[in-house]
Amino acid sequence: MSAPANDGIRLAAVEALRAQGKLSPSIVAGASLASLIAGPRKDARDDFFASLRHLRERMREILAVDDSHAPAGVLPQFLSSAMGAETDVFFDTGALAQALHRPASKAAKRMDPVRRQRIESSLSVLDEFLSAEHSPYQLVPADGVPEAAQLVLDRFTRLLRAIRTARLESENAFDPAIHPERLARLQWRSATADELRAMPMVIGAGDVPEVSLSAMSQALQAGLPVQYLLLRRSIGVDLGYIAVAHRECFVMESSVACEDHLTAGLCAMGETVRPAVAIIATDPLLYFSRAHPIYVYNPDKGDTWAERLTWHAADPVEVRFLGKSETITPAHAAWHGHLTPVPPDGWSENQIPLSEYLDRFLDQVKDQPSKAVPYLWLLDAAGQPQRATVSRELTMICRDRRMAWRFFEELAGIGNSHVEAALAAAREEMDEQLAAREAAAAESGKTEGAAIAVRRVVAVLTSSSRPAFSGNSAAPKPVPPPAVAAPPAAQAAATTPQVVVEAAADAYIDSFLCTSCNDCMKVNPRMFQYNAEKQAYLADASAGTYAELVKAAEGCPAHCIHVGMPRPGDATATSAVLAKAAKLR
Amino acid sequence: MFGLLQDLDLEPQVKECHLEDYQGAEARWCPGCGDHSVLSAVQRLARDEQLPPERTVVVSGIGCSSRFPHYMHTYGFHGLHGRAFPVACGVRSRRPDLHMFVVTGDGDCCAIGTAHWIHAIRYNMNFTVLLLDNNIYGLTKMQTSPTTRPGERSNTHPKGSFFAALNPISVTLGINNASFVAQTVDWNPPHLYATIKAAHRHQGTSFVRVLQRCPHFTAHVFAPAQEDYSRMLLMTHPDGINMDPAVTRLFPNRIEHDPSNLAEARALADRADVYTLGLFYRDPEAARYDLATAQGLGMSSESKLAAVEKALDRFLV
Repeated sequence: MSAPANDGIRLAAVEALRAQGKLSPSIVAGASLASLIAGPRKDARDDFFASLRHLRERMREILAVDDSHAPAGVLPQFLSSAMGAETDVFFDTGALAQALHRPASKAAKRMDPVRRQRIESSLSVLDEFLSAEHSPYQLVPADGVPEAAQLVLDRFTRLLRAIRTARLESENAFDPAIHPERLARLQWRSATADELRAMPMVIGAGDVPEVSLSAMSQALQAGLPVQYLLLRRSIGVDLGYIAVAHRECFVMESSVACEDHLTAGLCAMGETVRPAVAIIATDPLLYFSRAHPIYVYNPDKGDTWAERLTWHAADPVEVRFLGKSETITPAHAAWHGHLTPVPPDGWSENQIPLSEYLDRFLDQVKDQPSKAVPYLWLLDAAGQPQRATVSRELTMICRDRRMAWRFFEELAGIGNSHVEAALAAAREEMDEQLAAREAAAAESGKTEGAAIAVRRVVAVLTSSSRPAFSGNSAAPKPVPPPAVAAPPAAQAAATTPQVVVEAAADAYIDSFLCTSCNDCMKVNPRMFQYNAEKQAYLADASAGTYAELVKAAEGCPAHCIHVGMPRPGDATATSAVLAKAAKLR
Repeated sequence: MFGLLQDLDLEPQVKECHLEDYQGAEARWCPGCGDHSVLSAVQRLARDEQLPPERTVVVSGIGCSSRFPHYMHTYGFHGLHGRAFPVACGVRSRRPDLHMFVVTGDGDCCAIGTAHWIHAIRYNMNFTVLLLDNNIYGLTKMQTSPTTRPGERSNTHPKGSFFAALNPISVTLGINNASFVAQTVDWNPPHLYATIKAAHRHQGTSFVRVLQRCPHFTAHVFAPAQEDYSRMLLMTHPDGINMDPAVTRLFPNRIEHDPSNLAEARALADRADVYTLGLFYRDPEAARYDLATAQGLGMSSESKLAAVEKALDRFLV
């Protein structure tokens, strides 16, 4: 369909939004967005650099100790430089050198040359890394991300080897039989999350239509710790959804018109070490028209859609102008070349506003009524409001964006078709059960009615006595037993058995309460001993007398020794001791 | 990372430590002394948290309690009287990687070391302070200490101390920037252990006062509370000192106290009718001075010299 040129016209709803100041041009510089992503990693980087400097100092110290063992280490010049040149004025380093001199047979043992070489090479890598300039991030064209990442990761792996070697050396734990082979196999994936956060970030920047899907897909699938920062200027392919389909990547779509969401999302992106993609709509109309979804998909949050996908719900935006209201649609962001102005004498009832048209016919593409025509309000060159019909192509784009919005909502749990189907099935099942129960109740009512009738007849035939016409009294009710009022105390005794707390006959210690104060050990170190927690237990009650047990219990500050009863024949269990023991059982 | 490739083999081997690995010289405190209880609680904690002995330091001043470092098989510093805190602050400033316990007594901390105590609490450097308070100078044989109760006889006050006792908890709660203040007793090891554990995990100065008897001079002071747990009041709260519910039930008097409520903490600390146990106050956000004083650890001698030169150059005329 060929669309007429629309020179000089403006969309009325867009003008109204602009008057509200919502379309003020935002400056979207890749660098400022990139620094937002790199912000959260500053602490990790600082810590990492501090630990590297610390490690470098350790390596230098180890080498310095070895240097001092060299024969030259006791020469006056060496001592003088070690102590500071100023000390020569009052200190005779020559005399010290003589005193420290050892014959060659007793020379201090030097470090193994292989080890020294290992330490020196690690030190040189650390030195090289620490003396180089480091930018927190590296901004490259989106298609150049895999190559740039490979370079950074290769350098990082080399550094990682030096760090691991230096750490083992500083603990003197390097085993030549094991570690060289392990170090050779070391990859960047072995780094800790903190180390990866300290790595210079590789941020690929570009516009959505220009990105090579296959290159990006490879980088995302490989799990490279890279970030994509892509700008969307117009309606197009759902690149965000394609990135989400890689499942384990961080993906966010946001808009410059939604600053809080954008800032928070970019910070979260900076914290993850997964591959990450941010797609940012630079035209605020894409946000207001719901042509561009706003969400964060963060696999760090959990394993389910509900945990991973955070959907930013946005209501349709309605604006008023010249007493009329209109809902912003994707057509407002992509209308050029798609509108045909209709003068007032051409207005008819068949023309309906686009948003209403979409609401009404969204699910009925095939049976679309031929008469309805969607239109938008525009202002002509003279500023007069006019209707303009919307091309079929643009209407279909709007419909597609609506479907996309609904699709993302469903992923986020809103209007989920699985849930609705399950609900419908559950409701149907419950209805069936209810119906079955009602039917059963009606059936049992019929049977019961028949039974009553039979009972009546039988009663009339077999007895002259008056039958009982009770509905469900088939069996005679048991006669209640004569009410005998039992005394309350007896009732209580019957329900709750009386608990008699008796003192334990054997002595014991509540070890977990022991304060390890040695008091009982002082009384009898064979009777009382410490367990693995350094708390006392009764090792051998027969290793001492009952009087000793009572004495230890009396002195115990935690009162955790329980003396029990004396063993038969214990002569120390006098009446005085037993009187004390009574309080300690 | 979430992959399978790990380089655990490239980590230096970590030795598993047992209780014996933390036991130093044989403790020479009197039998029955509460210091034994604190010592074994700290040793158990070190074992349970697997604190490397070579990365742990105990700093003390002078007094019975200050013999503590000798009995821990870790690094230790038996300092000058009242000067445990300055040493501790110095160690912390240069060795932020160490686990540190500062052990002091009521004489060491609350008398001669008061100034250092006040400012160490303000500095809020990351270490655990254990104030072993037996209400008496025990090492020098029974002189009145700042926390001795009024009326208690001692060699310096034969007719009884006539000052109101200093309350170290109230004082600490009155210092700006206090970040962890708790009280416990030596005769209930589970509570003692749980308190020291919470204190060790807190980032900042954790001040723990341990009420404990001196078996020779002040056994009678705490005996009533040892025999009757209703003389103690246990503060409970999910953010406070958490321990086995069975031990909590030993305390018949309990009160729910939110450790972020400073005003209520002060009111509870001032109660004279019971010994209030548990966590009075915690402020994890309090500023830490050691984060500033431990700067520049990785600097080489050359860069330090260059920094000094640069600083001095500012005074060139």
